[in-house]
Amino acid sequence: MKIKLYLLSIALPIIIYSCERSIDMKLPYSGDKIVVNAVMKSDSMLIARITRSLPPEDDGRTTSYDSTNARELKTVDAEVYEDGVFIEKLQPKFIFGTKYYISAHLFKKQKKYSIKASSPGLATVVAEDVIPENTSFSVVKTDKVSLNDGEFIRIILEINDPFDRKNFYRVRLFPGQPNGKISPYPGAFTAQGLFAENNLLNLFGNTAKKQAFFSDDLFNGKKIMITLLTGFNGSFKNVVEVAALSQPAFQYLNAKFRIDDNYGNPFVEPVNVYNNIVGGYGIFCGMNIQRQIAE
Amino acid sequence: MAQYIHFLTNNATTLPTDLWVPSTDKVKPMLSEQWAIGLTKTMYNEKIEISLEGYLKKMNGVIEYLDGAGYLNSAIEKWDNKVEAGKGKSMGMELLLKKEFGKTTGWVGYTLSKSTRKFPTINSGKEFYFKFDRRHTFVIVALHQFNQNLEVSASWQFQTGTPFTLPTAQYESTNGQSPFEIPYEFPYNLLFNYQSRNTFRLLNYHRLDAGITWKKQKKYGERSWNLGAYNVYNRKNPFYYYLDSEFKNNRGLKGVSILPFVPSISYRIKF
Repeated sequence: MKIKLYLLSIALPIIIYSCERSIDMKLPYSGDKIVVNAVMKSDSMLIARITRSLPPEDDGRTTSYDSTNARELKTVDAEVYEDGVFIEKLQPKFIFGTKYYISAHLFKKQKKYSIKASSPGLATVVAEDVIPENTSFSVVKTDKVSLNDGEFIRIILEINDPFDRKNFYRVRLFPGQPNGKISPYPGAFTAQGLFAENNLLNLFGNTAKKQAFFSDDLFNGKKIMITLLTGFNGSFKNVVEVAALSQPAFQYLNAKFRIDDNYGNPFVEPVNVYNNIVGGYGIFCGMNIQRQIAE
Repeated sequence: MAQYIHFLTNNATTLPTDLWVPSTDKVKPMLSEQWAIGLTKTMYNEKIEISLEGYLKKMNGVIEYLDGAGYLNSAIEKWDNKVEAGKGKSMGMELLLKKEFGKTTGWVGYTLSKSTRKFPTINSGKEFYFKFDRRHTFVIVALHQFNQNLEVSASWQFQTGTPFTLPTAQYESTNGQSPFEIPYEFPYNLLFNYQSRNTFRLLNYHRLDAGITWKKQKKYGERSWNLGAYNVYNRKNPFYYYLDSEFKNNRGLKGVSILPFVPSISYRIKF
């Protein structure tokens, strides 16, 4: 018995000590850079958030550490240009306690905008993009269907894709509630694309998602019908949102959505989100949102 | 050569999550061509053998998970929608020195290798190191027989660390909403920036194993006692790694090793 205890007292510390090892590995840091997050919308002021990057301590989701203050920049000089002509300097303003940089001008579709942001000690960053043209879409039909796994609201949309340019889309669905109001949060839905020629095209897979992103690669210049299926919760009224995205907006928001959708899964390949801020990080892009009630 | 099953590995974790998957109508069989040239020579009355081999393998149709994809992230979506086919290249040389006669026998092996992958969209179309790319592998195995009853053995192996993807910065993101809209339900808004896929190297792997065996001839056959030790100098080779998210100002990787110094004893009867 004594021998066993001796053996155990030697073996246990070795095993426990051996389990975890802190590796003294110097992690890389690409340096402090300006971060611009600004999405332009048609006939709206620009509301930009301009901050700085930090070393990748964590993803800000798993700890109580709030790095918001560390990301803030005290002084920012942000200029905006329309079709290459200076229009204004963005002015700082606190909205619900967070600092933004806001324009006085309303931004217009199909104009090329650029932003130049600088802050002492950091490299100046620039970016440019356009707000795309409106999407022509309509809700063709809304009905309730019973499937094996329950009752669903089926909404059929028709999108007229312009042939003269490459188009990018984001579709969201805001479900109605039994009290007659529309939820401000997007709901999950599955979507299938159907050409006017009745060729079934599975654009989105069978998984219910809260956003569907797609380009017109497979149907450029055609009229397509998309069927959305969402769970029936007692309301026949839903709001369908179709946003025309610029290419940078499409690449950024699509990648960001995938990251959020996969959050917490350690087996997902890291995603390097699209970035069009030259010399920094973030996104400066345009989108044109339209909504219609489906009931 | 055509290969109808594919090796599908995940770069997001160092845990063994590799899969073998079949070819489908979307994922075509892998085609490869392989070239090898070797030279063998025996010396000192054939007591020592030395061999040198070089190889080059080009593969077309290897697969990798797309950015943001991985297994377990959707049970419904088909796996072949989450991968992309591309090209792979492996090359290297192997040197082997063997001694098979005498009281002391053993072998020494060294491999210099490089393995890369290239895909149309993954890693922005740029070539990157394969997950199992190891630049150097060195193995030495020795066995000495003192007499008919007693022998000792030892082996030491060294492998360069494998490539790994690490973030190089974190920054704020947006969901495209203005602050006046009702907040998007996903409240977290930080993104990692990655320089490239598999840019960094994990720690080198090495360990020493040793054993001693006493044999004795008995009427019924042979019995032997063996005392062995795995990982003699208790090298903590991490089995998997993770970015420590518990501390604020000291960025660091943590590794978990699961096989420390492990002694063993065995008794064997041969009849």
